[in-house]
Amino acid sequence: MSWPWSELGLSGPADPREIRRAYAQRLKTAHPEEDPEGFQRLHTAYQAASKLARQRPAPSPPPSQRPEPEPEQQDWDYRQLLQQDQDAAPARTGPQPAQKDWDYDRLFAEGKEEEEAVRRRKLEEYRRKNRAKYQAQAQQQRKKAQSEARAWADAAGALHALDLLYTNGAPLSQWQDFLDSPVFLSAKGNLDFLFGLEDFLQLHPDLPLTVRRAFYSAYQAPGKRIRPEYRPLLRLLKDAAPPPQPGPRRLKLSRLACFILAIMCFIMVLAILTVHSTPSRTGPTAHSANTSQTQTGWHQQVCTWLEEDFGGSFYSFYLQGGRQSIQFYSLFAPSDNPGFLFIAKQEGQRDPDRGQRGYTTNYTQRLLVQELRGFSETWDYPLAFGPEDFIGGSGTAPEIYYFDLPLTGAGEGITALGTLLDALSKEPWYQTLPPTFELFLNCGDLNFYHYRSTQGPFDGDYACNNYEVNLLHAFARRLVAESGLLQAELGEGTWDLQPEGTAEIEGNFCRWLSARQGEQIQRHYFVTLDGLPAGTDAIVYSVPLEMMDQGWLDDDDAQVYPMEVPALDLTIQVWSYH
Amino acid sequence: MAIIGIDLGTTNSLASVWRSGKSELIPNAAGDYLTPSAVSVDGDGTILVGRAARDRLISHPDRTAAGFKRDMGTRKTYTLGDRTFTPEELSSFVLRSLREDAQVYLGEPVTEAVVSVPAYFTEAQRAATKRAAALAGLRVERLVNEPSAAAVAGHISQGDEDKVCLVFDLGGGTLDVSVVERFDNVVSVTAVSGDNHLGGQDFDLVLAKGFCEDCGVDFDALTRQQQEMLVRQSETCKMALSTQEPVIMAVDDGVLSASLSLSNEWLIRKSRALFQRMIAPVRKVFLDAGISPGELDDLVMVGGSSHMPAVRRYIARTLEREPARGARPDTAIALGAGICAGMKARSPDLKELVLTDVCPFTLGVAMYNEHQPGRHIMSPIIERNSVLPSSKEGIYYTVRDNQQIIQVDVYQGEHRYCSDNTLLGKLELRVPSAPRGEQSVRIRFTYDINGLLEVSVAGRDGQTARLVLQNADMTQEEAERRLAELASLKLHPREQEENRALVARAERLYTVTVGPLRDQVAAMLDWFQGQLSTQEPLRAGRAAKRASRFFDQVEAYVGDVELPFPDASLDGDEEEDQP
Repeated sequence: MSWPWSELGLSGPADPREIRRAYAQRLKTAHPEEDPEGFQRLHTAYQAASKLARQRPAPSPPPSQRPEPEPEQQDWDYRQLLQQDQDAAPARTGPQPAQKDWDYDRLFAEGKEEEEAVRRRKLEEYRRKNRAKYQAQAQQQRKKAQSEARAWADAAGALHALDLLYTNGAPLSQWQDFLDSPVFLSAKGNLDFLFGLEDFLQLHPDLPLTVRRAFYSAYQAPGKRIRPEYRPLLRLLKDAAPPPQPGPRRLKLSRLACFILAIMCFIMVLAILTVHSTPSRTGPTAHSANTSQTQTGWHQQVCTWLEEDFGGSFYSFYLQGGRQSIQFYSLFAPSDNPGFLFIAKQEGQRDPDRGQRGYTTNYTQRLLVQELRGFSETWDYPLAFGPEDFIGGSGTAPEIYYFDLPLTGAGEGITALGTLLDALSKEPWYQTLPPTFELFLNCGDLNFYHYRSTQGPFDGDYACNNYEVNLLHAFARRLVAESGLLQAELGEGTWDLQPEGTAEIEGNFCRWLSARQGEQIQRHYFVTLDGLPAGTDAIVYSVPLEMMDQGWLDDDDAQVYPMEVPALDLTIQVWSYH
Repeated sequence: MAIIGIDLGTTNSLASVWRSGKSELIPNAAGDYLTPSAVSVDGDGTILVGRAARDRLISHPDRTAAGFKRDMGTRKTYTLGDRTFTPEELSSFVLRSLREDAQVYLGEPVTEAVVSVPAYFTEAQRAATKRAAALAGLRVERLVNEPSAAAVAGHISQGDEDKVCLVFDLGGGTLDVSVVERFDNVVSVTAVSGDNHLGGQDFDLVLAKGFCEDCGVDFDALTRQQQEMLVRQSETCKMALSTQEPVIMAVDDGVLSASLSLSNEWLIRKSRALFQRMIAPVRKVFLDAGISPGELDDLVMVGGSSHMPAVRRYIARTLEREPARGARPDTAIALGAGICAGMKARSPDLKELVLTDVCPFTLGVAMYNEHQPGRHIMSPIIERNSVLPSSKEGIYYTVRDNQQIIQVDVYQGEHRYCSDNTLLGKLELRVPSAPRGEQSVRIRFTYDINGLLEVSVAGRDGQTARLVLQNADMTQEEAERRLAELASLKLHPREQEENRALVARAERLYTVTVGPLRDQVAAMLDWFQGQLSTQEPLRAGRAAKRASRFFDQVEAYVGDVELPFPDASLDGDEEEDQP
């Protein structure tokens, strides 16, 4: 009798059942709580005996005992066992359960797929939301850039005007006019202009006091608080500040001021006289020392020709004011509007009878830009230029214009544009040198009228009709095309978007389209063009029918479209689409 | 004076008592056996427990708590109204309510109880449970593992036929899997495993989220109240799915309105990950018990979530065995706890019944690591699944010349490095000066059936030190500090990627093996790291080949059980294919 059998009170190797019996018997005396050490010894022996019994099956197992585990018991393959396919029906399973059974593997796979789908949908939603946000931001930035460019153009124009007035030695009344003009008023608070003006004042300390005073009072309305950005400027103009309230003690002073003023007036008159007399004294050859005869010659010549062709008086920006810098070489301006610069170049021989002007100019195009810009501002239709954005002061003029109009309600505007262009075409300058340009009327990136100045007059009626009748159709057609209906797997058969398949359009937001086969609505499409009519891409969703039924869309509307869209209820028919 | 048994569950709690030869359930004031484990604070500061509190989960989510069993032993706090409670305090309210029900039912004061806890509860969680009982005025000397309690209940109700059972206990918040042998007057737990954070509540949440997904609602964007309502609704539907199909789940609170038809198939699809998590502990417990699924006699499914047909079928299918009929999932544990209470009270009709349980985790001490100083190795003294009570000792030697003190850090866990395991306590012993390796101490761990660990250290010169660990608990500061330590660690580039992977593989194998095999893995790992530290590429290469071959064998032997999912085990195959 040896360990572990002895510990269990067995005479020798025994079968598992006997071992268990013996263990249970002994446990009564070696209770785990009362005799931990005895129990520990007993248990160790029990474990060892059980292990031995298992490895070496007892010589003669009783027939009633359940079969020994398979010999490969130590090496069973859990992986296989635990993942055994449901189809391989286990033989050992007891009576077939009354319960329903499930194909777990398939369901797990489906569950995984669903999770993936949800993940994808969330990502898509996230992208969509961000896209709308970015589009809105981009639009804002574009607007900002445009307004900045415009402001800079204004500032530059106003500064040019300053220079011109100074170099021409303009009388106070002209300065006054300038200060009252929209050119100055629109640029007045612009920092570019302010800095430019400060530089100008420092460069020209000889500016007449009256003029300086006029500037001072333009920037410092009596009794009002000084805006901080004007302070440096007003400090420069300190000497021109109006005298304080005249008191009895100031009488002498004001007399002195009168005296000084008189002297200054005298000086000014002298100066004006000098300036005015300069051109007459020097004549066209005044600058022959610096520039070649022909160069100065053609500038004066072109001025004359411009005057002949368009009336009024013009001057060369290059010749005037001693700024013979190459960057002003081809710049001209009307004398009565020194800020309105344009380009003119000598070209070929002049022969008015044969239609040869002897020069080229974009003067009329500049006039056109001015008019179109005015129109854009009046009607609030964004105007874009092509091929490059126009920057004021550089004198170039674009040849392609885009008007961005809303999806609906711009009929009057189009008519007004037609009227404007018609009126312009009857202007003498237009008749003299018709500007060549192309004009696109767009809604987003949908173009509904393309006007070329070379092809006769602007057809306002046609544009208006096209806009009111065809644009929405085109828009809806585009919605359908981009809704994915064309690419969708709709199965066999011919699919039509029947007239019943309507698109309800609210603003630029198309609620749904449905594709029908026979009488049954198979699929709904939920399409929208985000950000239209500002000119952005289409975003398209296809929505399974079930989702529509669950009212999923209604819940989502508010979240998905945070952008404000003009409310407009409108139902249009969608053309059949194959 | 009676001792009662208490099943303190995540979702529901029950009390029972051993009376006149059987275990009786104790009804609560409403006449129900199940008391929901929920606590709510009323406007006037009174504490509500049970069904009333559970109903307030939706109406007053900010004043009500449930599921706090999951946070036992942590420093998490619940704020109910203007008061803050620990999970123990909340549990103590439930226990107090059960105690009062028992006093009314029995007509005598009740001051002692046997409380069942998930077998896989850690020391800290057990200690917290005991503290909760103390707060409720109950003396708890005995904590019984839930699957053991269920097995005992089964044993009493089905007679003493010889059986090997797998007890699959899926409760509201925890999963316990045990292999139990029953014969004669003995109920012997052979191995336990589990997942402390997998239960019916996870299903509720998954279903609520799945419902939202399918209805196109963003669950995360809902208010807490709406979420709570949805989860509660999911729970109801989940329970309804056990008996009928399909079930229409509909919610409408004026703001949120949706409905969906649910089926068991839908449930399986949505909770795929939960099903897959269920299987890992089952594999592990078979390996630890040293038996194959074919040797099982009985599959006992207990715990509220075992009602779910989808879970029953899945486990039955996986084990190719039908669950035992007659086991009542809801009450088996409570009945078993009642029997254990009777045993504790030395009830004469239970005198012969013996329940032996096992230690669910490995207990050991920190050992100096020659190859990576500062990264102590866990030296196991009581292996997991050792039968209780257990008393084992190991001999440890000094590592430096003239070492004055031997420090004993007691850890719990399955990982090779102490830093990955849980520190239970520290102990020091002075030793006489001597060259390294000449002084030794014997460290004895005694882990009794009540879950009390006693550590005694004896030097050669007869000096001793003792440490009794009962309320060891990892503090928040410790947890945070350890996290910070891990974050500040820079990775040592001393091994190439391949060798690094081999070491990681060895460490993984170390956690899944026990006994001599574990020692062999440790020895091989030590040897391999020693070879690596020579910094001779040729030698390291040869060592890597050899170690890899060895680990292949180990993996083939253990069946690579630690990898829970099929796709993960494919990686293992590839590893094995390498020369």
